[in-house]
Amino acid sequence: MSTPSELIADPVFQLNSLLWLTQPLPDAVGIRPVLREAGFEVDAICPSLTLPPDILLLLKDSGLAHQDHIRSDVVLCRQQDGRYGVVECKGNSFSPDSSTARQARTLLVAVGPRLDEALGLSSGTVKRSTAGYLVASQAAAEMDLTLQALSNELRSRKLRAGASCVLALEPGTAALSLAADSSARDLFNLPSEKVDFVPLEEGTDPRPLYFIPYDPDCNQSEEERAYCKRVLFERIQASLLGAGGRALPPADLVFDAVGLLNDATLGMYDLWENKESARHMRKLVRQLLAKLAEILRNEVGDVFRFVENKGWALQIPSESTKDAICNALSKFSCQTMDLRQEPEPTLFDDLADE
Amino acid sequence: MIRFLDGYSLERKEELDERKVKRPLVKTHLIEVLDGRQVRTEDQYSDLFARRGLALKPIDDGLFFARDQADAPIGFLESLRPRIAALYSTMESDTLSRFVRKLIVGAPELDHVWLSGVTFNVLWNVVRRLSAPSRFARIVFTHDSVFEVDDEPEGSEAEEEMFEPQEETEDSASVVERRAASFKLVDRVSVVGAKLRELQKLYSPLYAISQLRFPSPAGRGGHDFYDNGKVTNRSESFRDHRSHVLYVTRIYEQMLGRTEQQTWYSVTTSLKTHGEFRKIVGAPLVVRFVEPLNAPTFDHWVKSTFERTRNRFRLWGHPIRLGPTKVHVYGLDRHLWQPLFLELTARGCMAIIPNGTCGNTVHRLVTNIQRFLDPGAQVYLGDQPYAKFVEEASVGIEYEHAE
Repeated sequence: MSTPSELIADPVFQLNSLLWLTQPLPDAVGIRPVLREAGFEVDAICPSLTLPPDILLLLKDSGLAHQDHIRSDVVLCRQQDGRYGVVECKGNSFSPDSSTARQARTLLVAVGPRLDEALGLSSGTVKRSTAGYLVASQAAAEMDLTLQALSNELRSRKLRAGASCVLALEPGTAALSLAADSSARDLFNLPSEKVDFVPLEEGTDPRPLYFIPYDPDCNQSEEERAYCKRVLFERIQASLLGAGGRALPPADLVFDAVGLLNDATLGMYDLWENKESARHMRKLVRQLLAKLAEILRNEVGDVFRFVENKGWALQIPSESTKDAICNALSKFSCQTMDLRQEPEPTLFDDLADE
Repeated sequence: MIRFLDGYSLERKEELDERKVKRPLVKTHLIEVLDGRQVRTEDQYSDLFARRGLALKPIDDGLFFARDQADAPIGFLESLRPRIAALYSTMESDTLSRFVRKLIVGAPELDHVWLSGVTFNVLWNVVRRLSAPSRFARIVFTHDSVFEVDDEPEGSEAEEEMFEPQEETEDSASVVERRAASFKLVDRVSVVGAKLRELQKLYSPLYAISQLRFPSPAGRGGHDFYDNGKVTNRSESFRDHRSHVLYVTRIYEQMLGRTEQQTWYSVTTSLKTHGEFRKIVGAPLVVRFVEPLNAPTFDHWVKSTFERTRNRFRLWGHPIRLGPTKVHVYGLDRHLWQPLFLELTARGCMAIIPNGTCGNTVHRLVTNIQRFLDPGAQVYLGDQPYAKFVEEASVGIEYEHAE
């Protein structure tokens, strides 16, 4: 189990904490949704941000390393007065020379006066905007310096960088806090420099339930990556078991990795544009499905297998077979697998990816 | 059907008054039909119930004769609302309850109608408004902290007996030390109305209402609603019984819709100029215990729920232990086979209900928590009290007096 100090640097924990901070919750139930209290809600998760062509041209002409198109983690908004915060979750700060700075330059330009265009909103919707970086408290100072350096660099090349701020997760003795610099406090209307949002108890992991269980593109410790893989696998297993349980025999069910991944990630899988990452995710699914097929073969028979041009087919000829399938799937726990092991290439990989 | 059951009810009421009941009373079991909105034709309805061993023969619009697999008569089944059916029967109570339990237990497309203590507390206010202060109210409270001590033998799977309390005999009673409250309160509506709230504050098991009588406006007696959707007619009028059943059914249907509208979590897609944007919508179910569970009780709750196939809460999952009294479960409602993500702690429980998971999951969870863990638990859908949803569901529902 990660310590709170380790956990706050995990981008998946950061992303899910950020989402919980905007959820409707009653008082004193554990998580205090401080961003919701300030009137903010999630406008978009992982949205695509494209700069208006004239600004993109200026950025290209500046000679600064940048990305033409980016996806940020979360856009928070307060519709009543048009405040928008485009937030990135980062395990660590980064230097102006790093590859991550390429994305940051585009983001800083995007949150400038033309953010409504970049977000596809009607003109004038965005009244105030900021690029926010959510990091662990130990990385906050360096993150702030990097953002200042990048903003100065952009302004020196006649580019109108938007405002930026740093939000930090900080473990105290009794609670995890959201720390905010003055820009963040101002935009997000936070009551103080530090707001406790989840209590800490000795020996208890403070993480919330994960909405988004896995992100192949972020840097995580081996332990956290294994945890996220477990949550992803549990959700895929639940999806498969649920479909089996609801089936009316005789029934032939067909599953594919994309559908299962979208089920398990609340539809976020479709947004992963990095083809290698998406491929990696599909491999993970096949790793689990191959294991489940083996379990079912041993306990029930050859009822679950990969069929070329079709997908993973689950045959349920009778009520008794259905009961046997559900029992076998219920008993299996992905904890019996080595979740730290990367999936090995299988014969199905190319077929299943076609 | 109505004429037959009306006459039958009148005879039974006369026998009840003479304290010589010769034949069983009329009972109704309310059954939720999942995907009921898709089951439109009589044939589809018949097929659905036939798969589970209840043969239906249409006799009128939305009304069927119901027989078991051995062709023995069970009663009448009426499609009251798209999602809710009523099975009316004059069978002996235990036999009928066993039959209905068996019908539902293996059928993910059917479920009981779950009336939690919170729901009954709201319905009690309806009873107060409907009934003359001098009428007699009858309320049963049931709370059994079964997780306080691990007294069940290993492998015991007592879940299916949970709604039919066994008579305790002097010879069979085991010595169990845990909080258990099951008692009946019968008094005038005005007296109960004046005292109940104060009594509940003093003794929380009084929040765990498991049965509530709607006094019949047609005469003496009334209609006893149970937390699992069973309703016993102790009035002389079946028409009046059906009116009450319909009334509560309409409220329940509203509750289901409102619960689902509020809690269903999904990532919705909106189209903007630059493509699809997604945002999370929904609200968690939050249950806050009045008093935190101690560690052994919490452990027993988690173990007996997730290590037994036929557990009281009908849940499946592999708990991820995050502390002595905190687990996360990315699992399923094992009855409806629909996903459910849970955080269980000593202080309460939080649930993410993914889009598509039936609202019944919420009402069953709340009913079971009040019955087995904390009768006074405070329940919220997002930041709104669950009781408010029930109250709102009952606003504007028409109550039709029987002729």
